[in-house]
Amino acid sequence: MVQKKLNFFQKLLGKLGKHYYWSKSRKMNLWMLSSMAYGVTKKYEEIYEGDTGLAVDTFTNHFVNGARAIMFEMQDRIKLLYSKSLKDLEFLAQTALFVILGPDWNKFLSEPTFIPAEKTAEGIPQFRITIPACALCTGLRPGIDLDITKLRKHTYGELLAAALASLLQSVQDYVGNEYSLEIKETKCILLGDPQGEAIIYFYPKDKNKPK
Amino acid sequence: MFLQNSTRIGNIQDVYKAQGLLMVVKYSLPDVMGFILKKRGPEQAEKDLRDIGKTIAERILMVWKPKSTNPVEVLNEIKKKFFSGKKVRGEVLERFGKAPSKILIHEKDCPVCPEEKGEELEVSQVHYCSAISGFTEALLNYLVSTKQTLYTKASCKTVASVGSGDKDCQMLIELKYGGE
Repeated sequence: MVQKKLNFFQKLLGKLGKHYYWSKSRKMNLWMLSSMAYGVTKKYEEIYEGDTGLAVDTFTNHFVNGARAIMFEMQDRIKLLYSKSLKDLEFLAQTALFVILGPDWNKFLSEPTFIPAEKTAEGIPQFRITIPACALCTGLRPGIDLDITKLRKHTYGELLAAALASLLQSVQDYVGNEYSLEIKETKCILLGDPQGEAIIYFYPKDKNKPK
Repeated sequence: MFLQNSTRIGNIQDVYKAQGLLMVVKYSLPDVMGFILKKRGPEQAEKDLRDIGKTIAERILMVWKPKSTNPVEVLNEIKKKFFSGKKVRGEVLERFGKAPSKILIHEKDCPVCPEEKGEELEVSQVHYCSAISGFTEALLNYLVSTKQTLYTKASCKTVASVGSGDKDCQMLIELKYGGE
């Protein structure tokens, strides 16, 4: 049975578990990871005959699929941290980011914040993630290494936040909350903002999304 | 919004000092491989993977340079610096004088290929980890261009890949010397 809220011991288990998992897992250099993402994106851009936006969107989908596969494999272990509470997703998201990026994760992403529906202008629950330093955009020369005017649905650095949104969606589906999550990058370092920001919207599944 | 800016964003050193989960690459690659294969066919896909490796090498050289010029040692430096895992083994197949001119690299712990049996590519004409040969070739030829090596040209080719159904990953490195 899915719990309404995480208790102290579950959170303690999550905190210990993430350190254990990180210490035992195989790691790689983040600049290498960032360079791989760039190399693949540029190849997709060539395949799509210069359509940078389509290249970025396609790679984002492929990355998110990969993240889903990881979650599927880890589901048995992390479902101990699932609850119906949307507020608990803050804890789960922090744990997931620690597992992917290790103890330095918050150099690149600030602590994700849940904003209840009554505190948002749209009346839709939201999850806000700010990106003080984007591991993907770092090192890029806007307009030279990537044509930012051609971006479409996703911005280049949205990968990680999109993967996180996918995790939160799978949790909502598992616990039986009827939400359809959608991510939107509202600020992007590559587009000239001082820091990135992504918002995950929790739209009720049975209702039409506000335009 | 600035449309073109020659200043690089952020601090590369901060990213270079950080780590991420290797699993992220291993789990994203099947989709990437499938996409490139579908769009380009096996022959071009192999070239594309090598190109990706070269692009990665250009970015890596922005922050890191190999200390050694010996190809086997260069590969082990890369393994140590950028991935965790076992060292590669080099088998010298031919020599030019005393210097190795053909080396077969044996990789038992490929950072790119799937770890579990049954996750290999269905199309065996493409070597799953070909990007590594493009990457290595670019690094070795960077060393050539900076005149640090006795060899004057390096060519690398992945000849076996766990992700394509082979027992281990193998890369053939050919080194040319002078006017050879």
